[in-house]
Amino acid sequence: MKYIITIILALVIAQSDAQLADSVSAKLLHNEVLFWQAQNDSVRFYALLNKANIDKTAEAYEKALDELYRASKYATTNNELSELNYQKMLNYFLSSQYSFSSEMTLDSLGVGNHYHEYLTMKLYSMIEMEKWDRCKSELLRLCNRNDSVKANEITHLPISYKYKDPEKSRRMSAILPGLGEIYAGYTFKGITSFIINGGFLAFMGYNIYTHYYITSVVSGFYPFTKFHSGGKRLSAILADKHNTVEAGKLKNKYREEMYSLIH
Amino acid sequence: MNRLCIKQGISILFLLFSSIAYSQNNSFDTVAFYNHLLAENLYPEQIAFNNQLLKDNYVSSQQKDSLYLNISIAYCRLGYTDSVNATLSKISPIPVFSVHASGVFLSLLILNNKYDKVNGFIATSTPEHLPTNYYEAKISVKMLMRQSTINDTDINKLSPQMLNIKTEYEHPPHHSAFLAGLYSAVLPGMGKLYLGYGQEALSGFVANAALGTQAAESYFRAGPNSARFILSATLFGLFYGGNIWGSIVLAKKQKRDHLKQVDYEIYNYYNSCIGNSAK
Repeated sequence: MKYIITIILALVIAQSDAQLADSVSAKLLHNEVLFWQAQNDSVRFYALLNKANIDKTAEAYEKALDELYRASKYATTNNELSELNYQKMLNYFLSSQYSFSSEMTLDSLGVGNHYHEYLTMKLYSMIEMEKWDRCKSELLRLCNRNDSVKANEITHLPISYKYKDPEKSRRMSAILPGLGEIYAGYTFKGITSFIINGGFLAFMGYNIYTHYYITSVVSGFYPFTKFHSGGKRLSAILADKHNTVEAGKLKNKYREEMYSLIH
Repeated sequence: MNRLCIKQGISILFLLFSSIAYSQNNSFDTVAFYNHLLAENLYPEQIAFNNQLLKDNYVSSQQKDSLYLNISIAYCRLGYTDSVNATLSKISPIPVFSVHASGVFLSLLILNNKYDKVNGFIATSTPEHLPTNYYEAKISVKMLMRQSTINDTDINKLSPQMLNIKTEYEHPPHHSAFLAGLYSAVLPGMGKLYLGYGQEALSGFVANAALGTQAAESYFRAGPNSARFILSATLFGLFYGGNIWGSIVLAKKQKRDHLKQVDYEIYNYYNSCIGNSAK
């Protein structure tokens, strides 16, 4: 019975998805016909803008951007250009292309009634791109001058985190196995790496001492070189992981300030 | 067949059935509009447009087949494989298309693994409706179904690319898995060398030689009953056996990979036929 219900539900969902896709396509076609039959650039522009909105609603942001670039040929007035830029920024932001959305600046026409959305997109993109300086000055600009507590809080936001250089970490592990991991902040992994590498070296030394030279190379030296080079790679990975975690923490701090100021 | 051919084919289709109009407005140029949708690569709009035409009561079954084919092409370009399959299944069992459209239809059927339909279409179509690549399609289906193509000697009907694929299919790696295993048993690494993997052969040989020497050292220095010898001999045995097993598996994998490569090249060929990038 459970299977039958699951199959029926899956069919219903698939059917509704297909109907939704069909309705989106029909709306897109309707606007394309409007574009095709239009007598002037303004009508063409708004037909394409409508298409971009339909794509955006259907979460097809890349396609929406394509339509906006098509529309840019027909934007003639300042209002149209401003609306176009806002829509481009919105779609870049929604498609996680923060490098583009952080660089876009809208004029007062473009911002229009979307002031909060514009600020959120701008600041969020800056945070994602780790442009801490610019983000901090933007937050300070937004902060109420009378609210000294808030201003002080923003002023004291760090503009960098404790960066661990993966290359340095790798070199440290090359000199002493485990040291790079400890430098990256993973002490337990560093100690484990040191014990494993030390164990193989000790085994190699013991075999040389007991005159088992071949065994010392095959089962001591060779595994040691393998673990040693693996440890170097691991150190660099752990340093990268540390940087990602620290950047995430700093991003969260900035986001909290951003939300408290905007909302 | 390039995109221009498809465009022309579809244009001809609409010119033939010009009674169908999207709009009630007589000035609406259906063919020009559809060409515009093709030129701008607006696939969802193409699907909606064809669906709109399908709702027309005056559309004959032959016209419906052409419209379903257009929808399949658009879905294929969007990469919606399930939708392509569903749309292709709506086309009548014995459709009549123009020569260009038949070529695209065969390409779509091959890309969606509908081999019976390819053979059925070729068998039921009249010669004047068959595309120039129908013989290629027949050979491709044989290769995809792992049938022999040795007797198909009419190579003049094949494009140079398809001829290369056919030659490649007919000359699979002739290495025997048994021999590869046997060579590896005689000398570790030799089986892989026989299969043409020099790097793997060398590393296999070095690993076995090192472990074998270690076991020998333990035997001569510690004696056959020592734990050291038992451990090192076990390790060597595992590597030695693993190397033989690896050679056998590699020989079988080589044959599988060769067929996969042929399949990939066939799909790539038909994707380029309908203007898609590689699958």
